[in-house]
Amino acid sequence: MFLFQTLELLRMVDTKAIGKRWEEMETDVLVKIFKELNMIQLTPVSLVCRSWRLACSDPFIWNTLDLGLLESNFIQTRALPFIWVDERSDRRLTRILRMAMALSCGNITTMIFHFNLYMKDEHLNYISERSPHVRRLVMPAWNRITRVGLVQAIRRWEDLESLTMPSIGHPSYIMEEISRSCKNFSHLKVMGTFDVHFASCIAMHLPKLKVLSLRCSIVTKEALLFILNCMVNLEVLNISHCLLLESLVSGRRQIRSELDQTIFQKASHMRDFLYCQSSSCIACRRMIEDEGLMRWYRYEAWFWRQDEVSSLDLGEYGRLFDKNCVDRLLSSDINF
Amino acid sequence: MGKTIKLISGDGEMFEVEEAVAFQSNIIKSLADEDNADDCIPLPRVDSQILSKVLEFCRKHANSPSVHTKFAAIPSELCPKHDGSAAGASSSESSSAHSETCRACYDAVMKLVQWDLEFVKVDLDLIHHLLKAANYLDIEDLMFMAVEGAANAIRGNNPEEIRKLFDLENDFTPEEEKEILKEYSWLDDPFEP
Repeated sequence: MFLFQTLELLRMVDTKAIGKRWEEMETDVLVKIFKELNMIQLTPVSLVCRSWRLACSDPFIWNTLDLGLLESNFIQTRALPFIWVDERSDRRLTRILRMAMALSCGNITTMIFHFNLYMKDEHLNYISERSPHVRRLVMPAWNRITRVGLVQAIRRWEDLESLTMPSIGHPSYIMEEISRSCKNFSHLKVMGTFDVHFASCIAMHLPKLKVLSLRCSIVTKEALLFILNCMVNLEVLNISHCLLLESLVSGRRQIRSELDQTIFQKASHMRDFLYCQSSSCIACRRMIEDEGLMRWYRYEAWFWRQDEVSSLDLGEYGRLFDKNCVDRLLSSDINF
Repeated sequence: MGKTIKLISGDGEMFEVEEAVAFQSNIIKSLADEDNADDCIPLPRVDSQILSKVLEFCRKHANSPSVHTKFAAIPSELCPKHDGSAAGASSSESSSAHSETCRACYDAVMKLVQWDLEFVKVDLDLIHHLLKAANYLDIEDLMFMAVEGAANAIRGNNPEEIRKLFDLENDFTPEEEKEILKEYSWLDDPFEP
């Protein structure tokens, strides 16, 4: 047994075993080292030599681009699109995206943006062209994106499986395009309000949807029942900390603080029905304080990133875009 | 002193260490698990100088919580104070409740991290060997620290500086280099640390 082992190990001996040259370092070790660097630190690394340049774009480093620390410099306005973003902010975003696209060589499969990152069509266009294999997109701010821009991007992202989006007034065009272009689409998270119109768009265009999270949104009881009745393929539904609005006979609406038996009965066919309507839960209390439209900016930075559904939860920020990057970019703005 | 393992380096030197120390390496652990009358494991790819450094690291880490371990998972046996009564936790949840609030555990891990950082604050040559050894022997904590050591050496340097440090040759053609630099025009000064 011992002899066999020795022979096996000897067979693995590299003739240059005690060599000092970093050129011989295995790619998977190099990739582990580079994963500790942010994208600004990675840039010079990709200029060192061919093997290092290749290692810099490895999917292990780039599978997730989390720009959750990047926000636009903006003010709210009274006219459409209700947001004004300063030019330097836009240029800063452009620089970061150019850097990321160049270094990642199309290996990004998950992209995460902050709810106060207001990108324009040109940014969306740029990333959808250079990262065509995105499978998961978290982009909660659509104020400055046009329908055309969004549709064009979705068309390029044929592999899209999961989307986190803000609540929008007329979602059918988006659902239509997803159903047309994204054959593997299965996870949707909506942040904001969810009414029966939204529910019917989803039911009509995304009948194969498996996972839906509406956590911390205002959901009408009609919409909830519509989903439960029509979405037979839905395996996971998350309505944790949602404010449930019920229409009364008088035409007024009131908040239901409890789910009734019919809802539980209809939800029983699903694998996971996640709910939380509790006066002792912090998230629920915040929803009530904010009257249903959660003011995420008031709370902890990680709070909006959470989801009880693990495939929709966002976790830690990752190294690619860290506080260092934010500071460095802000300080170099002055040179502009 | 518990059961010991004998390790033989590539240049024929024998090291006898406790199991707990040697078993930091998943490879050594799996080799030793097999029925081995001699209890002697050859490591032809690691020479004695490196192996002794690796074992120094493993000795330090043998009875400490891993730097990776979230504090909640540190079992109370590893606590320096060996005091499992933090916050009056019941015995069934003693493990997690213990270390989340235990100052001694937190301090111990922080001290270990400090030691590790000093350990890898050495020349890149040693880091290079440690990386290869940690990869070959599958020692998670050593890999983690050696990776951090290498990353530290890279941060803040421009390509030429990195090449000098790591003794690497620029194998791009001048045309290739020009093309790449064009792509990277987003930074006002791409090589500013």
